[in-house]
Amino acid sequence: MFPFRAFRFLAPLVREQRPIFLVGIVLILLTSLSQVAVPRLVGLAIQKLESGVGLHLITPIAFAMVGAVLIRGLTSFWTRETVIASSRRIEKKLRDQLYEHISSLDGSFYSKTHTGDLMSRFTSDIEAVRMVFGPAVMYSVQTAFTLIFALSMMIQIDWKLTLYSLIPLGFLTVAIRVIGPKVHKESMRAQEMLSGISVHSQENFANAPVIKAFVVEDAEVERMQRLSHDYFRQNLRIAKLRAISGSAMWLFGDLALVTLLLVGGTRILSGELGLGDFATFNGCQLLLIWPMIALGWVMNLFHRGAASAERLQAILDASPLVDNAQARSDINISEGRVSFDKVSFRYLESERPALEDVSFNLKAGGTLGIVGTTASGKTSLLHLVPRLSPVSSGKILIDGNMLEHYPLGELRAAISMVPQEPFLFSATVAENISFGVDDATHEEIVAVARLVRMDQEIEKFPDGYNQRVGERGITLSGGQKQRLAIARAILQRPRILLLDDVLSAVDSETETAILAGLKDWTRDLTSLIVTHRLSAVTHADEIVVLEDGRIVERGTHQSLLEKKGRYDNLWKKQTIESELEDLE
Amino acid sequence: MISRKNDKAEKKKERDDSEDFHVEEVIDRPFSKALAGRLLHYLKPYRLLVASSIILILVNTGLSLIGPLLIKEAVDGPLALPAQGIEERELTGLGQSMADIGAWMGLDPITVGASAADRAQWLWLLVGIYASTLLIQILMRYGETMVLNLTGQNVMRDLRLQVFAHLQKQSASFYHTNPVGRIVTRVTSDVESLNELFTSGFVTLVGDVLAITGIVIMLFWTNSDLALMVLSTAPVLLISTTIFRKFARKHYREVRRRLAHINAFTQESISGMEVIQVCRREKEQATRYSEINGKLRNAHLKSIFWYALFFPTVELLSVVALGIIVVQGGQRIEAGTATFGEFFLFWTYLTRLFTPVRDLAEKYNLLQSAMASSERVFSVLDSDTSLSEGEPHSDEDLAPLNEIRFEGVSFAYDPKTPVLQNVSFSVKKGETVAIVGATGAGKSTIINLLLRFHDPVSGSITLNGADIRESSLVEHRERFGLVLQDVAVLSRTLGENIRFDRDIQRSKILEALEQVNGQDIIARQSQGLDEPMMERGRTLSSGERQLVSFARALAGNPEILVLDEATSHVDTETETRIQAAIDKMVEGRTSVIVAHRLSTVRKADRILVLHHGQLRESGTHDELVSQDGIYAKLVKLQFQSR
Repeated sequence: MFPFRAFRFLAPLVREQRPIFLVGIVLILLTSLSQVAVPRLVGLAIQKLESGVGLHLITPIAFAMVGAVLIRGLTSFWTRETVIASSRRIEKKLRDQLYEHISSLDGSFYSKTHTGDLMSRFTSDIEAVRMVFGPAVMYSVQTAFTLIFALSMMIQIDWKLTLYSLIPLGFLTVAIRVIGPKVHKESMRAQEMLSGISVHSQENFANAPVIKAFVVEDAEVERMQRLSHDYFRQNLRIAKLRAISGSAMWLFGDLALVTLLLVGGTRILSGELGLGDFATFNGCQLLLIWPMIALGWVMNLFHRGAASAERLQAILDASPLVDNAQARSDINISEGRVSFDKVSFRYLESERPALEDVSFNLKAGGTLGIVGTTASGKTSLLHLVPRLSPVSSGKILIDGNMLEHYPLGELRAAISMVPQEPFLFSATVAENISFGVDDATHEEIVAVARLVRMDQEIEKFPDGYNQRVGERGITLSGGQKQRLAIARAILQRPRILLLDDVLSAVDSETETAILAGLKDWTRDLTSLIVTHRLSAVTHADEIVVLEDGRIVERGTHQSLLEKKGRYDNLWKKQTIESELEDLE
Repeated sequence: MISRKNDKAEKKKERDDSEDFHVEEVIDRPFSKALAGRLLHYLKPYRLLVASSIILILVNTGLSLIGPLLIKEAVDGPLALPAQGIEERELTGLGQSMADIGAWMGLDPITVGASAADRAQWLWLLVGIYASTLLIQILMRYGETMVLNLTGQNVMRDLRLQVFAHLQKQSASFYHTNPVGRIVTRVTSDVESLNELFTSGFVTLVGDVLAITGIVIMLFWTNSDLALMVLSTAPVLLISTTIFRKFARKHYREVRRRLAHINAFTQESISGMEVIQVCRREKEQATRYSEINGKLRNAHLKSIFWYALFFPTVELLSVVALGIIVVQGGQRIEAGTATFGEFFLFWTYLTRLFTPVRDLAEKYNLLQSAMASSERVFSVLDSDTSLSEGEPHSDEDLAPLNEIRFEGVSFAYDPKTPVLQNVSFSVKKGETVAIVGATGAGKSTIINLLLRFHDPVSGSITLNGADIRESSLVEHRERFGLVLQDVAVLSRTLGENIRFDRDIQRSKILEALEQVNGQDIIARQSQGLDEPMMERGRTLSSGERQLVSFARALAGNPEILVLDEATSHVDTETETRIQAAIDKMVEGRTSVIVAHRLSTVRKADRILVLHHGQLRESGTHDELVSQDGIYAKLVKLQFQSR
């Protein structure tokens, strides 16, 4: 009935917790037993009172009740401390495992995965699985035991009455089971609508100048009104389902008491049932209301958890295409020669290749300039070098050896890359610069900061190098972020440096100075520079012009100008801006 | 010189600091009368709903008290043993009315010798009444939930729209200082948590308090002596609830904080994965992650402890109370001062008393979070940075544009760093003015001032001789068509992106696209103009996005075109098209262009050269070339490179 198969991959994690779960089950058993004792004892007391025999036993019975509930208190305390705590431990390990796994995945995974989706694997899906191993396990076992104990006691007294009183409680489970998934489905839709509201707000606020310039504030408010209204109606739809299930719970819970009153009462009248047993029945039914609700709820938890588990497994099953399968231990990168031999690359889900038949030879210490239109394959080319994505066909050689022959760690140790969108962590400036180097001294950090011309600006920060940058670096300007990212890259003293249009927010004079400084910092640094600003690559040993993933022009700055082709055209069209800066 | 060892120590300290994750927002806030009063204000339009929900809650609480009473009547009446002297039973309240109902229905009162058939009839009557109160109750409960939700959802919608509309009026400086993400949170999740306050907070709180009061009254009414004994457990319950609430709150907050931390860390790691991988920090990051994760787990484990302790405590107290009923009730039954029915009544009521008491503890937490959210929402509503403006004219009075003039305009976000200094120039009807200058020279500021996103710090901007601060914002801005470098493509259809919420016919949209040579964009979309656009227009090329923004500006047929020429490089073919489109748009139209390409600048009627916030040169291409200043040098350089 339950899709247990979906949880199979979690077996190793669960196995670790198995002894604790077993203890938990014993505890739940004791809990249910002591729980069922209470109505039995109350019934017993009434029996004594009714018959007038053994009245001296009343007080001991009351103490026995308190004793039973004390046991129950202890066992249910330890049940939570074992079962629920175990589920949190499983959750922790699962989350660690997931994190570690996605750290090993390459571009072939990330290019087709939305950050938001991946985030919800980490949040709601893990929580749904956790709910299965925590509350769902706890309540299903508890319900099972309580049902067994309560029912065997009730059947012993009067099996027909048991049957009658069970019917309304059964409906309770069915009601929750039927309405629960509907509520869940509608809630998901409401979530989507809320994120629609969020997107609308986000777009509106982020584009405030345009909204104001076109004087469409009122229309924007109207749009918000429509979205809010839809959301309003959806929430009422959910409220309706909740109201139905709430009333149903109330109805069936009390209906069980009504049935007992009628059927049990009739049997008392015919002398088949004593008031004491009637009381026991009454107590059992009060006791069973919650487990019967829980039963429906737990089933929903299992199904929701199974769906989440499947999504998690899909990610854990994704294996990186980039691995150390062909690694050799006898080679290392000493010079930094890079050559591409008829390299093609295609993203898994796309039909068109991002790079096609790209070849070049770059000597150690040389510079390759890469220019081209947006989406012409420049970034893809850079990503292939540290094997962030795997080559589809062709060969990339470093120091004459195939890329795949270097252990991944060795390869990446020799390479630094600065991505197009400089990425800063919410940590201090110093931590951001030294990210990737274990034992950087303060002097070294200052030295690279000076090299990217950030030292003076950093010293002006209130906390200097210990200044925390906001999440994703919001407190820094675009140029500052770019320069910090470069500082980080060069502190690692790479043999090969990859720059992906990284100085667009820095004026060209500073850019030239920084690029020149890099060569002094590391002798014979091989660099591949993607840029929109041609002045950054005029001194490159070779410049390639990419279009649709193919090299359409190549040569030095001079030779390309003489060709009077695309490069020359670009050069002429370079913005006035950079030249104005040069003038001053 | 710092020794290496010190360095390490310092590093360690930093690490600890960074671990002490900082959540910018206050998670909870004690109940405040002022805030609550302000929130209540939002309930005003829904007085009727609130009133009817209170009535429904009252009725429901009342009805839910009836069931146990009926069981008592049954046990003491038809089900009582013949041996007991029923005829001597003092008929009180419900008992009396039951007897009346019975008499009305022609049933004999239950007496010692009553036949089984009589008793059965009485039993049926009681069960019938019980069942009918249940039926009424499910309808009423349904009504109650719906009315509560209706109220909460209405208030939430009102508040959300109010905040959103308020934000629309804020000046650009507001958006300059507040990160978008934070404002979005105000409109979404903060408002959302207020909804919970209305649906399950305020009013349910009343319901719980009512239920508790009702049950206590019934207990006293039935047997005050026994009630007093049973309720002696109440102080212990109250104390343990208070203690639990305090600790649960503390740990709940800790869990929330840790959760925020781990989510931020995960998000950051996913976005920065390439950096992590190229820097080979996977292991270190995973270790950090595991640490943070461990802290989250520990926070969870601590809060489990308190819940594990609290629930059994409540349970224990309720059974202690039951024990008291058994012993004390038993004695009284024996002595004849209590009945079996009363025993059942106490028992049933007791199980219903402990649930609301337990719920109250949790609802208090909810209240505190909602207080914090409402404070944040109100602080947005309280800060008003909207610009003052003049009265709108009637349509006929609105004069067509003649001239815009900047006179001695200065601007600065921060007094220490002026962005524009004493800039004066004018744009006459039909003229094209190009602004050139390096990054940070103040070009975009001129656009911002022109459209009145900001007001100048000193100097004035006049349109047809009148200060723009004195005219209506709508009328002023409606004269302009704006094209920015970063094109705002919103997630709606292509056509709607051009129409942009204005009253523009489809034919005009097509016309505008044609004017900028962008017809083929439609052809490339499978649904034409109705093609939904992805976030930020990802499915369009950057050149196409430019053309869409041109069409958007033209579709409104503006008097003045303001254009920030894009620097981002597009392919040659598109570039030519864009250039042609600009030429076509500018022709015969008053235009102000922040220009990045010499070809655009040359055609301008006037060129303004900005440098470090000052207007250094102004004139036509020929004039400026002969002046031999900045512009002349620029042109020379361009020729050299040719």
